[in-house]
Amino acid sequence: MDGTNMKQVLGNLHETPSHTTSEAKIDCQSIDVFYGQKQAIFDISMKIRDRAVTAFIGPSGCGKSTFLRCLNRMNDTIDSAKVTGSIMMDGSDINDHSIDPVLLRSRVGMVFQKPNPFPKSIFDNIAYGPRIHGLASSKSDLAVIVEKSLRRAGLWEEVKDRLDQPGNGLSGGQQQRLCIARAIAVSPEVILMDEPCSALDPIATARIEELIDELRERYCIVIVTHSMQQAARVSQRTAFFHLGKLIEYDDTENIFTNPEHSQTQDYITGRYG
Amino acid sequence: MFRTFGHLPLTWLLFAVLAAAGFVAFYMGRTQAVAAGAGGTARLNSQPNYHGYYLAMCTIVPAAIVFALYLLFGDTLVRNQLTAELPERIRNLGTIELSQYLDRLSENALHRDALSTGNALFDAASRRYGALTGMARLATLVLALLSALGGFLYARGRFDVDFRARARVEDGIKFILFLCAGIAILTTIGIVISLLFETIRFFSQVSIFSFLFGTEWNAQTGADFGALPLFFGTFMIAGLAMLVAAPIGLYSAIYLSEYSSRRFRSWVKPILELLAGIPTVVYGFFALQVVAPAIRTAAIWINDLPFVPDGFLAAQPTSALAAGLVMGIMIIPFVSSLSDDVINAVPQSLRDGAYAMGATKSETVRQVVMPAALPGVIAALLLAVSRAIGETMIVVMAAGQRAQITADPTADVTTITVQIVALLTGDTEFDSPKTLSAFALGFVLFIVTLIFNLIDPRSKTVGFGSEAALQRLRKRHAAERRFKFYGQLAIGLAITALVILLFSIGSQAASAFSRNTLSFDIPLNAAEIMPEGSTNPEDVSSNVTAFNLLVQKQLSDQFLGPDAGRDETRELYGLVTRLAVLPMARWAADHPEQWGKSRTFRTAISDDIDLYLKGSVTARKKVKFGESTLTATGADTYELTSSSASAFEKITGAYDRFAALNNPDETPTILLRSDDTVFRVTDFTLNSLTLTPIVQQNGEAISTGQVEPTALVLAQPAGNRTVSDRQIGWTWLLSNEGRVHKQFNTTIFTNADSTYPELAGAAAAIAGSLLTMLMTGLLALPVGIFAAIYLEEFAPKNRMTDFIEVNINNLAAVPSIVFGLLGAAVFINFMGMPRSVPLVGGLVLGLLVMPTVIIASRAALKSVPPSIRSAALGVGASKTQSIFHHVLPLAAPGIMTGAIIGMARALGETAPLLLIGMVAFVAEVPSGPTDESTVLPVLIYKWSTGAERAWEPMTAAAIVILLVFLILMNAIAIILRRRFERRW
Repeated sequence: MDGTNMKQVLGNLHETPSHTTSEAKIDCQSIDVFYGQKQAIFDISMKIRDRAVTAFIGPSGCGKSTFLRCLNRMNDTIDSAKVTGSIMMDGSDINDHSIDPVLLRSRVGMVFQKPNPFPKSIFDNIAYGPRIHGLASSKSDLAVIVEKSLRRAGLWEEVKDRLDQPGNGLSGGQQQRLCIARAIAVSPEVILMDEPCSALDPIATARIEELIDELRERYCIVIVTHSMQQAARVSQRTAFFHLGKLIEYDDTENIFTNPEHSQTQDYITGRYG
Repeated sequence: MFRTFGHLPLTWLLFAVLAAAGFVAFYMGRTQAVAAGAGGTARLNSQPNYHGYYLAMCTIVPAAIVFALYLLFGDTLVRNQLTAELPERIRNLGTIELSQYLDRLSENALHRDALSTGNALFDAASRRYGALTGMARLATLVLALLSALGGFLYARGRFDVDFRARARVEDGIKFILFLCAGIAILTTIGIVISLLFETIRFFSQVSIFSFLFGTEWNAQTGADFGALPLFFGTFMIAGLAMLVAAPIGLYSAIYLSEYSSRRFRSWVKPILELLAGIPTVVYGFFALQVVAPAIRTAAIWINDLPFVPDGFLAAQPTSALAAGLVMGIMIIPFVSSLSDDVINAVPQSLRDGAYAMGATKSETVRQVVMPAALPGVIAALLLAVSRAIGETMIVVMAAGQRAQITADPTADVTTITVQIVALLTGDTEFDSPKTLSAFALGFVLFIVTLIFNLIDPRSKTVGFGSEAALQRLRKRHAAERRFKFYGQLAIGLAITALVILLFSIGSQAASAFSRNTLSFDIPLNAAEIMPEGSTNPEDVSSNVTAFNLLVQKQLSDQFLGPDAGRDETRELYGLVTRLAVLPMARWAADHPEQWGKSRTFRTAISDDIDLYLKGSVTARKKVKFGESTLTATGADTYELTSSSASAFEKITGAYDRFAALNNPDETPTILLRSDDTVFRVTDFTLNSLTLTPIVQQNGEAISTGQVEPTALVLAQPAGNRTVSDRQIGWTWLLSNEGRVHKQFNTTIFTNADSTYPELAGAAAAIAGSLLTMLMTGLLALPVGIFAAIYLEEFAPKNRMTDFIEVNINNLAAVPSIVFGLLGAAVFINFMGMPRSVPLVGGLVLGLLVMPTVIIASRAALKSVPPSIRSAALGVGASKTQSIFHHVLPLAAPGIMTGAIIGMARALGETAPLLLIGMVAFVAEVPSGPTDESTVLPVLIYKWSTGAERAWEPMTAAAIVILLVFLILMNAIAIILRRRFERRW
């Protein structure tokens, strides 16, 4: 598979994704991840649905964040990390050496645990991605993208009068929504969220959860969370990880009401975690 | 026909053509990409700018490689070809003679109007040289352009919507960064090889055993090379320095970290660190001017004690103790800052444990904190020792030159660094054992400091969980207050030393910033100022003799009688230095329309009189008389009587006071001015003075009768002064006429160096310093910062990187004089660059500060949180983009701060520049980086060795100028740091 095909597969940016909800956006087969000698992920295979929220849950150190970082090749930035197995996104392998991880990341956005706005203005925070990817041909184009992204992230009304002020002047919840807007601005197809609410208060968390629910209309969303209530509230599919293995993966309702594995049952009822 | 191309300005031509070609290529690449991505560039793999950069890169790089090859091998090829064509007679000359012959040929051939020397062979060879060079240059130009075109076409052919131009460009950037990191390691290798190579050559002439263990050192005559006394002197001075620095530094650190308030600490720590920022040449001056004389006086006093045998202490004017004491002050901050960091790193839980058991603060510090911090404290002490061993300027100025082994700290000893400077200053031949021995010494110095840097006791500790330390708490002492007092005392001593240093320099400098001038009404008589009727302005301005005669004539007309003796004439003419009339001559040359008229000029008064007027030649007391009577009592004797008894009492009182301070046979002088006559007092009683006139206005009779005179009591007799009674008398009369003016000394900023202190200025050195800093910055800043980016962001974490890292840390601790040796061996001897120029000085200082810049830049890059990097990567920025768009701008203030501090260090550096000949006397302000020049710290060193007293305030003034520059740079660094505090 070469770059040209990948490009065709990844498709034209401004085109609305035409997949139906039941279709798999990402198909992972036998993923192993090693950090040096230590194996962190053991033979995980799973399909992730488009236009749905998939939650990864599990105790600390179970590998759910590591697995998430495989999906946009963020593990490439760690020297000792090695990923094997195939991750097919819309039919092409994202780990193929002909795939530029930089371009992949513009299709697979990411929101991090702690809000990490650039120490720049709110406008520049959003505009940075479109600028480096050549998504806007003029200043007014850029302004349109910024406004659209901020609206989708539900932040526009709060910041529209102070776009030139620094992004780190916002509150924690606002900062995280700014980071979501920044991720949306490059028109990704998938958004990965690594415990996006763990640094926020309950009100800000509720606001983000609402937002995730809205975003599911357009994007394939994968969220890592420590909070089982959150997983139950926002996700349609839930995967339970334990010690680097995928224990159970099913519709959220089934996982929380009728888990197949006793380990899942124990975790959900709070026996350990 | 090729000879005309010999004058081809290849560098500039290629530079201009390639820059233009690069721009064109960039825009063509960009345009092509924009066109291909019509309707939205998002479908391109790389954005148009990157396609442009790629095309420009492919165009420029091949041509640059061709040019680099020419620079490396072009001249050698030309020379080899020419040598082959030369007659056998010349080919058979020795290597050195042949290369000198070729040098002369090339100089002649490449001169724009090649001269004919009359020697047919030489002229023909020279023409041939020109032709060959022309061919080489033309070929290079054509090849470079062809390869640029080839590169351009190749890159253009590869264009495609999916072509990964960004990745290629980023690979190019990464390669440049890698090269910069490589330069750092090349420097280390360069030092080791250049030192090793010359050292081996030295040991082929002198046996290694006699060098290491011989006790006779006479390298200047090339006779004896036993370096043991040098090693001894080096360690003796370093030991004395540690005796000062270790206790003061340690107690200061303990007090600051354990006892002082936060506020006190935030003030005192920077002040202590100021001690490390003062250039070493300033410490040298302080040691020479203040400490060494004080030690000598003290030693003489001890020798005079009744129970001390005669000549017990050597009491030399320069001594090991003076150098050691001052060096100790200098390295206090090395001990205190590092120890402070280590002590602060001791976990609070250990202290809490001790307090919980009822230990006092001092017990906690001595028995828990110090044992835990000990490895780090030892590391700090070792660093200070290695700094003391490698220190050059203080010992050069204050330790002496005599290679001897003695236990007497007041004797003069010499050190490794002193001898390196002594052996390599001035014109040096690189083949004599005398010169080579300097490299052998440098090698020893390098190895010794390397060992001190590599011993790091910290790595061997097992952490802070010291059970033993906690157990020792059972012992109780009540030394709390004493302990705390030691800390306060240590800080007090350190700050006192700083204050004394700055005060002694400041007070000396103050007198140099003003100077006295004497005004003359000079008739610009054309016949006298134009030598032999020439109206050429240059002839007039250089006609010093004529203007001097005019000034002297005025003085003698005014003061000298017909029977004036030769001494009297010489003394009178001594009021003004010969060259001081230069500004007058220049002005006259510039204003021919003023000739025939008269004009008032202010001329610098000679340095001794200037010092006298400023009050530093001798102590004095002025006494005014009221109504008095002057009567002639003989041919040349007069008597003064007066009713004002208090005036007589004051004179007597001052006389007795001065006499008591002098040696028994030195009687104070009393002068008296009445109207236009100055008398010497030959005898005095409590109501009359016996007078004899010494100077008077020509042709005026001495007015007797009712007068209102002024008396002047001078502590020193004429024999002890540099200014005679008569000179004082004339100056008195002139200043009474209002012709002596005290004004701001602008000469120090406008004049270049001179052999006369009253005419010397620092302008040339300031310009030289600025040019040298420019070269330093051009080398150290880009290379240092790029190397830091590579090491911090791109380098794979492997052995190679570790090796480079260790190297850079070691390089930062290598004594600066070793970099001077590197400059002498590599740039001057091997590469044949000229001596004494800012270009070479800048290269040497650039290499010297590069490690500082790298370390500071890496720290700044490291302090940018990884979340910023992740954020950029998360929206699809490449690694290079995330670094250049986000990390670098955030790290910029930190990098700038480090860069400025590094540059400030380079600005104060002296020793390495001495070795590359920047100590030359420079009378012209340099205008470019290849002009001969000197720098401020070297000028300070040079002036401080001047014999005349007037150089002392001049030196102090130059130090003040240097310190002002340094303070400015540090202030900018501090403001930067404060202004751009972390924003995340």
